Amino acid sequence: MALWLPNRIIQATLLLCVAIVSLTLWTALHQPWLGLSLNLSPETQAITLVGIHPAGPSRGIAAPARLAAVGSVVLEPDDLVEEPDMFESYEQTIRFLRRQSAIANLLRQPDVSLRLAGGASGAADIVAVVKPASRPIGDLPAAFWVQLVTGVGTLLIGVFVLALRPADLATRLFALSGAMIALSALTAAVYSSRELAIDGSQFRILSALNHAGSLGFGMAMISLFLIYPRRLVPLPALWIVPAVFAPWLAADILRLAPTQTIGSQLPTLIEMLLIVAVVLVQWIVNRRDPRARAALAWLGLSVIVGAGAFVSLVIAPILIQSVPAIQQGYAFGFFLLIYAGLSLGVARYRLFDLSEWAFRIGFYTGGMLLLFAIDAALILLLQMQQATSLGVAILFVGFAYLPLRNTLWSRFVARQSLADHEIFRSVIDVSLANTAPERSARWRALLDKLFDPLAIEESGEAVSAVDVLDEGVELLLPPVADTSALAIRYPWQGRRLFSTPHQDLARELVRLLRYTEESRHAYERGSREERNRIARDLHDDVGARLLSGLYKTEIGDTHSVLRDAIADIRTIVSGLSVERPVLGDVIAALRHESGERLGAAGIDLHWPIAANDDSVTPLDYRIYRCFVSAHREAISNVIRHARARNVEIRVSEADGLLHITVADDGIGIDPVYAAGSPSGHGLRGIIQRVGDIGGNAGIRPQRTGTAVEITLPLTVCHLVDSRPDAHLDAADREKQTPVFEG
Amino acid sequence: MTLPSIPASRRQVLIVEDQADTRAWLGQMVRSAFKDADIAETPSCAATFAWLKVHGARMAANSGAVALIDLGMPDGSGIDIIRELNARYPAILRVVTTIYDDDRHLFDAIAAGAQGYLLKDRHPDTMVQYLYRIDQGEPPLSPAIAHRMLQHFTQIKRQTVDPDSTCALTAREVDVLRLLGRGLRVVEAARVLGLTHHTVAGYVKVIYRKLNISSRAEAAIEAARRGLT
Repeated sequence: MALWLPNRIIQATLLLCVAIVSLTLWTALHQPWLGLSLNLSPETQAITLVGIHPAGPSRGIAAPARLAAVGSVVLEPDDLVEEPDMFESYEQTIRFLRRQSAIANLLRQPDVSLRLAGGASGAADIVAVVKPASRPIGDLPAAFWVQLVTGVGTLLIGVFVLALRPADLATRLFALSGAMIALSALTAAVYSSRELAIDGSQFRILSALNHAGSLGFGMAMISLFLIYPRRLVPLPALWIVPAVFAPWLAADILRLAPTQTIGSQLPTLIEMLLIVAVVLVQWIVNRRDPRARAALAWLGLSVIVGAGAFVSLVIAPILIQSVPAIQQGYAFGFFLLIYAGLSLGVARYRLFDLSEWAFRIGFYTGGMLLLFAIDAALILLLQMQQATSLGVAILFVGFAYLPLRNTLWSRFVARQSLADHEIFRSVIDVSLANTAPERSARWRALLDKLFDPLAIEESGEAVSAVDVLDEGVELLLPPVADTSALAIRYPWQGRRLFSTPHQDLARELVRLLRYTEESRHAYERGSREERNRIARDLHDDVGARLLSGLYKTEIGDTHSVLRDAIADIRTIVSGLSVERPVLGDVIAALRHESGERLGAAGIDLHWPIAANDDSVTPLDYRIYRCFVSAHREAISNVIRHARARNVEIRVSEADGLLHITVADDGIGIDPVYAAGSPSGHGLRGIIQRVGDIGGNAGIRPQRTGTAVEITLPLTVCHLVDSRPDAHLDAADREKQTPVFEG
Repeated sequence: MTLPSIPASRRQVLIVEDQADTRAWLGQMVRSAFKDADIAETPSCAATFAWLKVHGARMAANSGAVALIDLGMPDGSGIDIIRELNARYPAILRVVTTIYDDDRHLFDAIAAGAQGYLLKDRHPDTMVQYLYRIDQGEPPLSPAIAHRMLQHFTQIKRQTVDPDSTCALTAREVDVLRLLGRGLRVVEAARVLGLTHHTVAGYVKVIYRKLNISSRAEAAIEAARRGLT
């Protein structure tokens, strides 16, 4: 359910933990207290007073001493046992509990008489009378705190994982196991830290809960490994586990089992062995999935080491009639190992499909706790310092407390939001980045700033449109800005959900980005086409000319070839230096140049000024080049071959076409020359070059001399570039089907 | 390079050019144009100014002195040299050598006082012809430069209130500029206008000078304005 936002679940659990801790503490401290520190000495098996609380009810007594009896009850070594299920038989346990009730009854009286035995020197027994008081919190032993912290810790970690994946059965089982350990540890904390005795029936309830917790942990863990990383059994088969162990637990609580060892310790051991077995089976089954194996290795190892340490150090010795190697209270700490190892598993091996981003929620929760701690500290501080003047208090609040609180608040709680114009600019920044990785990074940064999610990950599936899933927990984005499809989860650190306005905003962003991307592509394509054209001109025209100059044997021929090449470069440079050459200007330049060239060869040029000299028709670069080159070539041919005296040139513009006629009165055309000179230039070159841009060229013999007639299209839509251009096609093809790197 | 002591009658030519090959080639071309010329060569702006300090006055005193100035120098622009020659030694004929005849720099050079230009990639014989013509006061004018001049003078006309200003063009001069702007050569323009070749060429020379005057006037106004503010 989407209502179960992660931070809400965690906050609820925190409150629950506070309640549980309070309850545990209350239960532990609300026992009659004598202010004694009792120990069972291993050599004499006697209950010894090793310490007296200086402010406790027994402060008059001298330590060490042997405590022989309380009131009328003579104490036995077993009375101090930490864990009653260490007894082999139920009869022993029943007897123990009865004795506990008796002692507890005596302790509830206003006056308690303690009989302290004389030392080995044979001194007389002393009887001391003490008035029991309430236990101070500082008197609780270390083992209590270890168990309390373990219980709270395992519960919180289990719930933390659950909060992030509430619907996953594996995480539910994991959280359940954490709760079970908490149950087991907290109840044990109460009765194992007792000074001497607590009421038998209370004890029995706590003990039963403790057993339920430890068996429950085992059941949850076995079930977990039966389905994670890979489901080994069909779901209904999971019920077999509780079907086996729940009756066993009932038998233990109701004391139906033959011995307590069989009823209490054995199932725990068997559960442990089953856990190991199932983990091994998972290991074998997942031998081809390295990721599953990594996750399994980490979790499995943590569980086996953590639980296994507890079992082997505490349970197993009991089974073989020996004493536990370490105090059970401390041994509980091993369970914390499991859950600590879990965090590393999540971070490194994507345990439960979580990743580092899962920790960000802990960051937020920690921040909130820090805020409350600061507020609480303020209250405490002001209460303690009652003599402080109002002025000092106000100064402190103003200069220390409030700024600190504000910093923490803005760091952890306040949501960064972006104004509209900032969003717009950020979108522009994304598409104007120079390289694809940079665009992708900026896009992700924008999403992070806008939605402040716990996780931005690549979506596994194909996404074609913006979509909100999971009732507002997840936002899907299609591929854009050189990034693959993204899934954004838990916006605003899990505090809010995606709703329709956010979806609309995301749609707008994607649309804007796509629009700017298309513009950029078009621009890049145009710029690339331009470069290709220039490259082609340099390559085909200038390069070819220079090459031909290399092969001339006469230095004069070489010179004229070089001059032609310089003229070509001049044309290219002129064509590039303006946006678009204007027809009128091009005609003027050609008239000037042709006049000079023909004049130097002793030929008269007749090219009268006509209407199109004022033409402002812009010429596409390709048309301009073709016009100039063809014209030059025609003039060169007249100079070289025609032996003419006059040349007449006409240029006219009609119906989007440019008509050029170069007529000379020379010796006329010879088919040999029409075929073109060996260098590739010549009239054949004109015809080919003009044809390449969709124009026409022809040679018409006249009564005297020849006329070269050229027709060129004036606009690009008439232009048909039939020249194969491998670079252009390939690049264009690339842009048709975008492929984004993730 | 410095010249040895020379008799006053020989024509003196200064070639300002940083490329050694071009320098040599220009020198050959000048020699075939003016057989008895004494040719000095300087490779940089600094060298040119230094040379002028020593020999400028004597060169200007001789008739027919010509300076061929390349615009693209490594340590400055040839335009500065043209300005200096125009100011100090106006008797020396100032000719720009360039590759492009539609370049912005060429226009600026003429505005600074150049009296003609030579295109460096032409055949030496062609260049000799052009050099002769410039020497006789018939400088060339490409369509692009003619256009720019028209634009420039139109702008001047709009800005000044004084119709008698010496830098305004006469109607005839405007006609010449228009025709040359269309690509006609001087011969053809003369034919169209019904004038002699010599007259039209003279107009071109006047237009050159007026451009120089008007741009100097512009600079003066600008300097005055700056000085006032």
